[in-house]
Amino acid sequence: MSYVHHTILIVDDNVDDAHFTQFALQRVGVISPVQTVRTGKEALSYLSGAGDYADPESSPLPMLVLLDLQLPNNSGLELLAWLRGQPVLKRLPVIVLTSSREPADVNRAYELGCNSYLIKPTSFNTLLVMMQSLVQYWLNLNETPQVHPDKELPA
Amino acid sequence: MDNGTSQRIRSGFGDALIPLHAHIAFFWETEEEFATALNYLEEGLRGTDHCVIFGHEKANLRVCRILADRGLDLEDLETRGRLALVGASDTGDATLESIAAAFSRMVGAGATVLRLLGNIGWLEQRWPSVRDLLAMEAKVTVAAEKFPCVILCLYDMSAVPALIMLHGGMETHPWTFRGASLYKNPFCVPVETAVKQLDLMSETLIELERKKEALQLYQLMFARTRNGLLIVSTEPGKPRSAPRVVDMNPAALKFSGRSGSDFSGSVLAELFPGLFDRELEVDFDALAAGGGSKDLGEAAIGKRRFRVVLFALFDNFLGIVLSDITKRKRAEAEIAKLLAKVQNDAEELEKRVVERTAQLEEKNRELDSFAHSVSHDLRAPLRAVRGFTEILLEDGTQKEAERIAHLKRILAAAQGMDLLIQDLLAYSRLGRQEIVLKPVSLEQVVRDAVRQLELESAGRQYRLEISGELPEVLGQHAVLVQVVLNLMANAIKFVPEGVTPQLRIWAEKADGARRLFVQDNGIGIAPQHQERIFKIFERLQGVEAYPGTGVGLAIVRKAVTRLGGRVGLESREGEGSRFWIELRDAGEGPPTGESI
Repeated sequence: MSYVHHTILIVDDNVDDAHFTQFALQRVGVISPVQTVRTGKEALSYLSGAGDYADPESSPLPMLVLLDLQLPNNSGLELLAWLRGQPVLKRLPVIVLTSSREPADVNRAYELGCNSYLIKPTSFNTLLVMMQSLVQYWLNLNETPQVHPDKELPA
Repeated sequence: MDNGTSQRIRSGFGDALIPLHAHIAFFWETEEEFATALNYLEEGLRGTDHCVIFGHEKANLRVCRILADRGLDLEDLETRGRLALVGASDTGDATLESIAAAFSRMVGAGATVLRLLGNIGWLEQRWPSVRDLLAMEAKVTVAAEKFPCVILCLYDMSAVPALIMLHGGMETHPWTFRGASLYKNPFCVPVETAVKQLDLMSETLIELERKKEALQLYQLMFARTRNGLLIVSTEPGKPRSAPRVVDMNPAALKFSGRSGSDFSGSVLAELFPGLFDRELEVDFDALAAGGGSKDLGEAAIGKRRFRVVLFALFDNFLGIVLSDITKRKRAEAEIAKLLAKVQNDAEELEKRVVERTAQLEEKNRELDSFAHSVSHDLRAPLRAVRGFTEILLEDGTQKEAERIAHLKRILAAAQGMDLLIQDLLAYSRLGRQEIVLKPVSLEQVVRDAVRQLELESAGRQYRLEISGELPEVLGQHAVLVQVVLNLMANAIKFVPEGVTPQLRIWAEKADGARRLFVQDNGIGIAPQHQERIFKIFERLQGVEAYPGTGVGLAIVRKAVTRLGGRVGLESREGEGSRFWIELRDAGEGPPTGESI
């Protein structure tokens, strides 16, 4: 099964980790587009369509965000908090994908409204299995909300 | 004579009863009295009485002459032991002896009257002192051994001091002492009675003496106690009259701050202003009316503090005790102070325990976070190594260029890990190594740091300007080199792309300390992040743009703190940063060998 036109946004400052995630997604059939940003700040720009990300064609709103928490300046949780404060964008499913098992991080992430919390496996093969389940559930089974403010249907 | 005023008595020995007149006419004050006395004598001698004329020679002669004129044969009477003449030209024991001798003669002549106690002082119209009376008592005792009967002759009772009248029990023996005049009250008494009288009298006198002694003791006690004692009185029937001082002891006088003895009658409240105000008059009245005592509590006169107790004496008289509790109060204050100090110390200790506990908890959290961060930061390169290795092993479709890229990533991850481990070791070593503060030349430190930066920056271009002279500070050379190196490495690392790093280093004086500044033209740090950057593993920037372990500034802070200094920075985002470290001036501290 392949998933097309299901933009996934990876927020991870670790190039290798981002590479693995993207690679794993490719391997489990997510063709494109998978977007990667390095910091919370960049993610914020991307999601609000600011600066380099102003073009919705090249920077479409994702239907899923894979968020690392250990971003520079601790900005992962900040991004999550910001996102959940947005009027429409707050519906966007966010899956934390991080190396931290700290209960404090887990709890805080859920408090701020993450939809799932996954630990980065050390093994790439394990990551593949994880991404397999992830796309099956989140891209296939899961009903996605409307996140485009301007495409909002009247109630 | 048997006129009823004389009595027949049983003598001390034998059965003979003899009438006895007190023939004692040698003491008179008026001619009328003299005449009366003579009449008694004459009457007695004409009867059967034994008479003694006891007086001054001259008076005796005069009496004898008159009696002779009246037809009495005095020589015959004397021969028969009916009459004795005792010349008392002198006083004292001689007179007593004369009287005794006269009576002895009479006894020898067959008379049964027998003992006589003459008294000595009375001849001189002087009432004896207590001492004299006691002496007399001793004489009576002696006389009683010689004679069976004692005649007591007491004259002119008006001369008896009122005190002795009152306390001597004379009133209870009217037949002995009562009566103003001897003429009206001649007497004779049995020896037992007389002795008893004397005993009584002497007992009374001893009692009086005791009372006097007791009184003296009371007075001494009153005078010598350190407590202030006062006797005061209120005006009877006048509620809330100002109590006045009747008497007070020297201690009370001292407390009042007065001198002299003119306090009697003074108003209490005026003598002790502040100690007894008008409100207390109610208490005085209540005690005067109902008795009892009342503790008025503590009060002050000037700097001295007193406890005041008020108690009823009788009627409207009241007693006051002033106990000086100044010393006790002072001691109590001292104790209170010490207690407060102890409590304070305890609180201080508790506070320190709380602080230490908080510090320890903070340390624990830091350790936790440290372990967490270490595991995270070490796992990241591991993940890269493993991930790429797995991909390389399992994916045979990769092109050569791709495989080389993956291998380079593995290499980079391994190098990053090595760097991180080095930094972590450096950081941890800082916590453990012993630091000895010595004067260190910052010139030398910067020079060595620059040399090392050349090696590590791999030919990266930058400009460095060192302004002015750099001073000597207290520190440790190698540690300071590491600090300056880290600051400089950051300064040349965090610059926007394409910008040549420009560093400026200089020193300033700051309150007995020296500040070394490292200024750059880098990307700067927003104020809200300026505290965080000194924490270990704290990164503001993505590792791609500005690679590093996140340990460098943590090392700087830990090192400078261990050297007894401080670190700080001034920066604005986009406008470069100015880091500083502050260390003690080498001239200010001890020159060598201070261990930390």
